[in-house]
Amino acid sequence: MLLAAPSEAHAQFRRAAATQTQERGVDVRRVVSPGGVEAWLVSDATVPIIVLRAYWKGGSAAEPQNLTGVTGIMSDMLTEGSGDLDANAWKERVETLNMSLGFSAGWDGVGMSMTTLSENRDAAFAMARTALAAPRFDAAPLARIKRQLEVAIRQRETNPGYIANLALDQATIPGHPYARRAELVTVNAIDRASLVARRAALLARSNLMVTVVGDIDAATLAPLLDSTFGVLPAQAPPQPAIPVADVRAGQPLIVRQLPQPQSLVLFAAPGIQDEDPDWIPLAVANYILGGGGFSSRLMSEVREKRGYVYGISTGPSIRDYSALIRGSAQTENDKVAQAIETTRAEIARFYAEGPTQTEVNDAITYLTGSFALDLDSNVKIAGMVQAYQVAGRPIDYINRRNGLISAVTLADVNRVIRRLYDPAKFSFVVVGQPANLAAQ
Amino acid sequence: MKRGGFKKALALLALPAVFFSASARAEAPRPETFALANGMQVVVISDRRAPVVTHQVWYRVGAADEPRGRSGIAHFLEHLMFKGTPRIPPGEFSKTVARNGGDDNAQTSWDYTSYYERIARDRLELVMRMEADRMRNLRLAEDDIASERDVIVEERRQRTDNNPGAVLGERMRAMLYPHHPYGTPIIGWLHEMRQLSRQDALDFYKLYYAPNNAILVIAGDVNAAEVRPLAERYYGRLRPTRDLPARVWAADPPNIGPMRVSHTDEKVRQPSLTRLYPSISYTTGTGRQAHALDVAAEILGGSETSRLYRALVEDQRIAVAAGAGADSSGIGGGTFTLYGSPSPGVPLDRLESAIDQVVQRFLAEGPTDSELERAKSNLAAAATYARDSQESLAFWYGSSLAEGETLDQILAWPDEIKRVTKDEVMAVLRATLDINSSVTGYLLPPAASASSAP
Repeated sequence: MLLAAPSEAHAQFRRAAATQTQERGVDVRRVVSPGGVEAWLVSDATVPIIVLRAYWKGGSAAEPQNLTGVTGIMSDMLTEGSGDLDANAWKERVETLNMSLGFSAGWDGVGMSMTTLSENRDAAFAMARTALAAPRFDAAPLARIKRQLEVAIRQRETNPGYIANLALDQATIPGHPYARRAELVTVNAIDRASLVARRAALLARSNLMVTVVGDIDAATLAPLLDSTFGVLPAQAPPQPAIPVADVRAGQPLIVRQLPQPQSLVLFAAPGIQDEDPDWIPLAVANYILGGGGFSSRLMSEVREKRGYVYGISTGPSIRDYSALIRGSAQTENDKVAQAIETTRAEIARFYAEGPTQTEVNDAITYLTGSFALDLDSNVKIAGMVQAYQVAGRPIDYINRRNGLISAVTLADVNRVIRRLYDPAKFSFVVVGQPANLAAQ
Repeated sequence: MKRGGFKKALALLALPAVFFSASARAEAPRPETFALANGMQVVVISDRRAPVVTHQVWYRVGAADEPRGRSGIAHFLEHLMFKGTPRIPPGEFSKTVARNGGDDNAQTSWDYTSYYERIARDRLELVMRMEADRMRNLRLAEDDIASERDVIVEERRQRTDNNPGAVLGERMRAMLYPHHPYGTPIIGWLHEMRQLSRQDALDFYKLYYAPNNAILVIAGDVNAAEVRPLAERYYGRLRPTRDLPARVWAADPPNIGPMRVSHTDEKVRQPSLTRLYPSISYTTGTGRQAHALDVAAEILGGSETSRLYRALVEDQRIAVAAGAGADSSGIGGGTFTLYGSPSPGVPLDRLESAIDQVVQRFLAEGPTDSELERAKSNLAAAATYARDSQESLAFWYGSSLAEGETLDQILAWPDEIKRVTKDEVMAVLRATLDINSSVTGYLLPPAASASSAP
């Protein structure tokens, strides 16, 4: 039998995984430029490319209420021309260099992502510098982006994911900045002066974090950090305070009608932040209930046994000032009631009985063993290192993470389940035309 | 999502350039290849950076090989392949992979079906044993059929029926290929999916799943010397199928002139138009035709500096999006696409004529030298970027080989792209953009709201 001795195999594998982590861990170095810009660097010359990620704390949640959307537009406009180059000339130059460079706004920060062939390294960093130092914020690209946003705002009216997430935010964190969205009226109010002000409020060195991975060494990187980011002011102005969201639990069922054959179901309960001591046991608990693909209880009960859905999954969902445990599924309108009932019953069973030791062992084996799969390319390593950097983890956390997960006990998992998985705390949102289901 | 494979297959087909490319740079390692005695081809792509491997089996069979009236059976079988063998109980395949720290999934295309596992290098033998086992020993219980059929129906609703643009796209393909099997959706037509049976799946499986109809691709922390004994032990002992059916697909009748279709749905808030043309592919084209078509699509509509975007979105401001794309994979040929989404208040037919004018002008004057160079160097650079991901490399080699390319052709891709001339671009584009072979689709909001734009 193939599966004759799984437990023995697991034990072996856990040892093997630990050994490999020690032998082949990711070597993250702190590089501080002469001008004081710090980066976390992973050097690997195997593939001749360089991946750079930067992040500035301060995002859409902190933007003025009458200008929602301004952080996103400002971020987009950083790659619409700078210095002597207008938008078209700038984009042609980026293409000629075979590089990519983009900025994106999140709730809590602005991200920058650049990839370049190492042979074009200096020219690529120079393009990043001009985008940061001298964005033109020209009228023509601003008008185009606003026109595109106007269409996107109209299109989201029938986007089930948009409708469901907004309904969930409005029900669980009403009035919080995270429950706001860019609107036509606020987008129309955005002009060049708003972009200039938003850039001045966000892009500085004091709130900057940089991650670099690939074909570059520390000595080469250090002066490039200065030439690229040294153009920014040293200190960001104070950001408006964002209140910590008091997430409401167990809201009445929300149904939003949308003419389509299949409904989207979102469900959520209050969660915890990643600095909470229960964060790691939560990863194990989540894997068992709904995070583990085909191995999860929800996938087994809702998809495999009953065929209600193509997929169902759960996961912790955190923004800097709110934390949820969240799940989603899509099912035929006629089966929504049964799918929700099965999901609720599985959460209740999880809460009442907890997992087995075998489930905990299997979760730990997967979560530790599969970590290397998330670290097999420069792009993936950059994403992981940056996530830990932004989360405030120590620089060697990437090599300690598996040890923390391996140390999780059944008691730890039961504690986090009793703390967070009370079925009464979950709120459900349905978007579609569900049968036999009415909003409460 | 698990077994969400065929979306990924479509993505591959839609974006050949990203995956289609080994670097021309000297340091790009050449994959090792060998064949087993039973006819199974093996390709090994070494990448020692992380202690993990990507293990894939590609079958040279897909939705285009389905019997008429059984649409969706190739994809349904792909799902059922996770239901077990005499040695693996139903549902245990993926769980065993996960219990060993790995991920698995599968994908179905018109041309191929592939299965993969990603796992620590010291677990390679486990997944080879399991993958080889289910190549010949699939067991299907009647109980598993009904619930899994419900799953693929939900998958269809999620991908297609919930999405008016996807519903229109499916009908446009059916018009573009009125008889050829590429006109049938990979996931299947709903009424036929509901009738698919255990026997349909087993018939398809027995006919096509065999080592001499498969390619093994392994990427990651291994080399051919390490792989060969394992491949021989697990795959090498499998019996080949004599007389594999030839892949002969029905041909389409001659075209009857431009075809048009519109689809109106309550959920549509923004109209858009798409035009499809049948085209050559890397399999059906000769010389550098397919390379030239990829370059042409890039210049005409592949980026924000392209002809269509610049003319319609930047200069005339009558569109919020516009572009072109070449799906140049496909054993039976490819598809060339033009698309546009109008600015508020601009009617679709006005945008359509503006697209036609840009295309006509480009056909008359051709690309500038700098446009040509930029497009070529960007496409070729994608080859270097692809080397960052063992998974992407494995998918690109596997899909290209399954479509009938040779390793040498794949490796030469970036150099061939760089050799494409202006004349080659114009010749293939003129041959492709024949309005009499095209299908144009309009996606529309209900009439009442269609005129609500300012």
